[in-house]
Amino acid sequence: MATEARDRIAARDRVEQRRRPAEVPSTVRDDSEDEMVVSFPEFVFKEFIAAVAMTAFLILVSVWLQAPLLGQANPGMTPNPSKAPWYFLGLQELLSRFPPLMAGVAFPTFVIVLMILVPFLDRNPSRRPSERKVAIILFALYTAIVVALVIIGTFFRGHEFVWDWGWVLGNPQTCGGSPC
Amino acid sequence: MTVIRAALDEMFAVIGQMVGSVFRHGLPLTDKIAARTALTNFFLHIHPVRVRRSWIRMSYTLCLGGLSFFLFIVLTVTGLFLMFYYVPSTSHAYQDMRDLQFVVTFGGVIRNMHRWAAHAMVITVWLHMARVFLTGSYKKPREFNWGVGTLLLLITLLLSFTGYLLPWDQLSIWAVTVGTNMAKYAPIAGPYTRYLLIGGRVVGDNALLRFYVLHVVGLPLAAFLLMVVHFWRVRKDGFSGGL
Amino acid sequence: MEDSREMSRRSFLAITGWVGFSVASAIALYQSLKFIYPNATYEDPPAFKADAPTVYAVGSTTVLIDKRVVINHDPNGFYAISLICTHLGCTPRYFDDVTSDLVNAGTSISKDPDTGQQATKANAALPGFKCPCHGSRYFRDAINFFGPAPRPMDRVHLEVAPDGKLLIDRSVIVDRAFRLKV
Ligand code: HEM
Ligand code: FES
Repeated sequence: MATEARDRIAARDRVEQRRRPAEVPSTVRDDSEDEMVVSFPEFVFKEFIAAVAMTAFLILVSVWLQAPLLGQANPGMTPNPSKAPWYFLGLQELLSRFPPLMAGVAFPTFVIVLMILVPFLDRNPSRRPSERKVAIILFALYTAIVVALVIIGTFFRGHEFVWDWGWVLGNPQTCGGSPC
Repeated sequence: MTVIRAALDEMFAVIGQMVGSVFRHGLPLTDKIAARTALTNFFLHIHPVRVRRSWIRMSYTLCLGGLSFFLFIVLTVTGLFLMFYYVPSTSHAYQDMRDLQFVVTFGGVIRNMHRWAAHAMVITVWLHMARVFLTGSYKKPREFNWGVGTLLLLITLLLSFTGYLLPWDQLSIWAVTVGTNMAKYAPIAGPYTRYLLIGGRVVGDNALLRFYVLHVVGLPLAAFLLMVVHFWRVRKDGFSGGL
Repeated sequence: MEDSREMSRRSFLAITGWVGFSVASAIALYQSLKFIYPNATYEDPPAFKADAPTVYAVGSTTVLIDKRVVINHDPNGFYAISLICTHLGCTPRYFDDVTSDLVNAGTSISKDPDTGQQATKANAALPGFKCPCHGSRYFRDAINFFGPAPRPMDRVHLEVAPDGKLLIDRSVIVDRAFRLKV
């Protein structure tokens, strides 16, 4: 048993040896000369500061900004307009334009699968931004589309979810004519 | 006199032993003490003992992964507080939210913190993903961790979605009605999936209870497990380091 | 020789074991799904009673918002609509005019296949339903004509109960030609 394991390790090492020279990511900056520091307390302290700052920020926001709470749920009365939380507004926008099977099922599944596959689709070994123009442009495009859809959903969709340039400044949400 | 002294000495020795059993290495005044502390402390062990300064530059990670994790902790704590007052049934839930807002001391602040931290977490997780993408940090050997990260992003969104139903107000019911109706369009399993998800034909008591269970136990547990794997992989694959 | 027979018996046992384990796991998974699939729900029963037919004037449209049902009384009889948007299930709202803004914006609107009515520049306003969620629109008879809704809203069964009131059963979907004559 023991020899078997040792053989397997040796075989794997041989394969690694053969593969290694081609693989050294020569394009990444050589950092072996960089200063070494202990992560505690140097790094931990940075994280501590970030955490405290975030907590202070959250408490301040929470004191000043009231989370929304409309009237009690009523299956017979849909608020007008009825909007998802902002991070789902892109999806809602797609749903208002495409058939649900496409916008609500096929499209999200496609994006998730594509995301998981990204490391395997991107064959370019370099990590330098200047050498990854295509990847960065594609990502920027994707981001721009997502952000644009969210902004449209938030600011330019009014009653019945129709286009409305003045939505933010304009009419409030109603439930059957009266405020929700 | 000497008896009292001896007793005091004994007491101090015991206290010293107690403190020493928790804080084993004293203040981290030198690198050596600090390193030993990090090596033996379970919570600090999440980091490598030594790192290169260039790996932990704030301008590289922007602390986004760490902040996402911290927000998860904030959400766990504030969520726990909310659970003391919240009953997941259509006859109580809405009134409980109003009580939290108007009756419970600091109830409103806790509710707001839970809500805004959830929004913030969606942002930080997304930005963290953007950072990882733009620095090409998903490349070999970190492909697997990128996949784990994708699942974490998904769970973060699902947590937000399930939490959205709980206040049982007009926003809740319609967001979930629309969201679960989307499942209906999936080929073959669609209608069953929706029935399973909301435990009925309309978004009502069963749906509220199901979403509650997923929101407070199921999804956080899954998220926590994935985070443990995620952090373990970050340590094993090493920080990707500066460009 | 003996060795190879030994191996094959071993691998046979291993394969049997793994197949057994997989089948058992699949059954357990299926049972778990069955467990969380409710056999009974305590929702509002689908059948309910509305008023007597005489309450609804000919040509009227009555929205029973608590039940999410619409009762239309046309010259040729009664029919009931399940007021659930066929897109993603929001509750559309009734308006006396759901077409004129589209007509004025130059969008051409198809003819109602059942009534033959059409919104034109001359006669722009037709009554109907608008959905607040993604903007689907329906004519008064529940036929969709705008937005992402894939089909008309369902028509549900109605009859006159022994006590003379209308009995509506939301679980029974009927043909579009269905009319109740009283
Ligand atoms: C709940 C959400 C998440 C948490 C709490 C989290 C946490 C972390 C932390 C603490 C790090 C260390 C470096 C840093 O802070 O930037 C990290 C690294 C990493 N994360 Fe995440 N993450 C999350 C979601 C994601 C997502 C959505 C992705 C991508 C799809 C992702 C991919 C990665 C990868 C590839 C690394 C290694 C990067 C490197 O070494 O530079 N993570 N994560
Ligand atoms: S639910 Fe009515 S338009 Fe989407």
